[in-house]
Amino acid sequence: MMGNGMKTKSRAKQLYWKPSYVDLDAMYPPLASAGIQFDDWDKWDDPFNLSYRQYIDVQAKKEVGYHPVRESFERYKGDQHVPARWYDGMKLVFPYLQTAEVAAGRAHARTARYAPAPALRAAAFYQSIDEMRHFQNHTYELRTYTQADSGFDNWAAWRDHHFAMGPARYIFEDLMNADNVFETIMALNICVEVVFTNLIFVGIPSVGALNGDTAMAQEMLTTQSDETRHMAIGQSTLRTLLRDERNVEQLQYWLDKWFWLQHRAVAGPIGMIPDYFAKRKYISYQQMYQRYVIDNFIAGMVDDLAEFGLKQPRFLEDAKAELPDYSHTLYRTLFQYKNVLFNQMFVPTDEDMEFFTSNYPTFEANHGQFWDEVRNGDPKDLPQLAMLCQMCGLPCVFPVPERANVQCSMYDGKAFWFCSNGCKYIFDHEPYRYAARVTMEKTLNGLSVPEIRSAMRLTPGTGGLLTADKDI
Amino acid sequence: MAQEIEEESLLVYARAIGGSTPPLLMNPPPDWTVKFFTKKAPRSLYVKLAGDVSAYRFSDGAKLDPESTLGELNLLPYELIEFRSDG
Repeated sequence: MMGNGMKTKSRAKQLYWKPSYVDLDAMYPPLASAGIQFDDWDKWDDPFNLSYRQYIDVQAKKEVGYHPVRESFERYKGDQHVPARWYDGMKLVFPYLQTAEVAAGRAHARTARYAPAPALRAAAFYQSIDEMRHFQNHTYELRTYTQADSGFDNWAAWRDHHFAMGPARYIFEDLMNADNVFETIMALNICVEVVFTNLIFVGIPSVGALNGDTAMAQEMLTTQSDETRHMAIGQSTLRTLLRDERNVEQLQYWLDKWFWLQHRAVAGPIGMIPDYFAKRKYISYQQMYQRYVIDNFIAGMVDDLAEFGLKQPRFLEDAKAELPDYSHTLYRTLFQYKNVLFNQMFVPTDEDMEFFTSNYPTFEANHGQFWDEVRNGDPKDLPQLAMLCQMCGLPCVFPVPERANVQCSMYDGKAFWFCSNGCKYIFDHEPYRYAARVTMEKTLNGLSVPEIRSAMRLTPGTGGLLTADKDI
Repeated sequence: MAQEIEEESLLVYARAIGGSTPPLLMNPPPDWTVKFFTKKAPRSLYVKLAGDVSAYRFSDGAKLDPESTLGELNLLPYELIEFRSDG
């Protein structure tokens, strides 16, 4: 028999409280889960089912594991052991991550508000708070970086005004605003957290630690400890919904769509870190992608779900085909934008070139001539912004700029351009959602370099690099 | 802040096959001939194409008549014009 204490605890864990003052459909509009079938939302199971007290206790322990490492790094001048170029990479990564964390926090908060299953709402509430913790700890890291290099105090200006941060805004803010909470869960819990966070929060810190950035490594690992809970919730949601075959087609589309968009979004800041901004290297981006995305996610999870009718992401083969050139094409393109960037883009050294040729068999054929010309004095600066993809916001330069796979769709009397088959496919399915998006080259088109800087509200600062306009 | 473009100007992308510059947005006047634009645009794309050069509309692959003006082509906003060496 259950005692009074147990009864109270059991009641407290019962998440289904029927309101007396409002109709349930008004409180949780069916539109937020339209098209997704499940027999009884109240019986939805959360694999963690945490109480708030339990959640706070666990999170507090995680904080204790991070801050002493950061304080020690600061006190003993850990930054003196970090190669300068690493900081230039982090100037791209952190404003991007901050955009993603805030959008993820708000996306989980929408799920916490609108999901039809009480257990999902409770889980999403904790996940939303997790994202705020990540944002705060990234901000601590930015403060630590400020002691080592100039410019990190401008991260919010980069995030808000700089075209290089456009992909983060396009993709993560779109994810945040999805009408259907299950699209959010597929996009965020599956395609971000299961597929790509290991690459960001496990792969990158391992490279960072090798380059002396132990505080960042610890910070990323404490972030990842939350992601594992988010992954489990995403996986259990997907498995549960796949049991009803009426859901398969819709879930497959969201997997196809968000896998491709995250392949683009994550590659933006992360792809160049192990190959270019890490002076000491031990793994290429391609190898990292193989380990965390192909082996862990595709072989470890998607193939397992084939029995329910789920297929591999539609553009997986396209993603794999790009990998030998991905980081090199992106770095080259940003190098051509160096006069409107807020970080230093360096010419690869002989050591770098050796790493590239030994890890990427097609590097010399596809990118060797570009760097030979740069070494011979051609700065390769672009006079204006290049065509940016209407869907992901990255320049239309893939797989290599000389043979860019540019795609087009006509809609509402205009031509829209895409960097890939994947981005075009998504636009063609939902043109009403994406045609109105004003990409950065449409607001900055035809402007000269000083005009682009002015339009982004940035001015030349130390060493000619851009800094935020203090007058705004 | 959007750039103010002369109302009469077209808004098209241009790229040159063989160059390493990605497509750039250009706003040529509609009374320019295709021939004149073919001469001007590759300079902005930082490429020297060998021999005779032709312009193509990317969306349907049509070769553009060098004597036509850009305005006569009824280009959609943000069409892509591709320059290729015939040689």
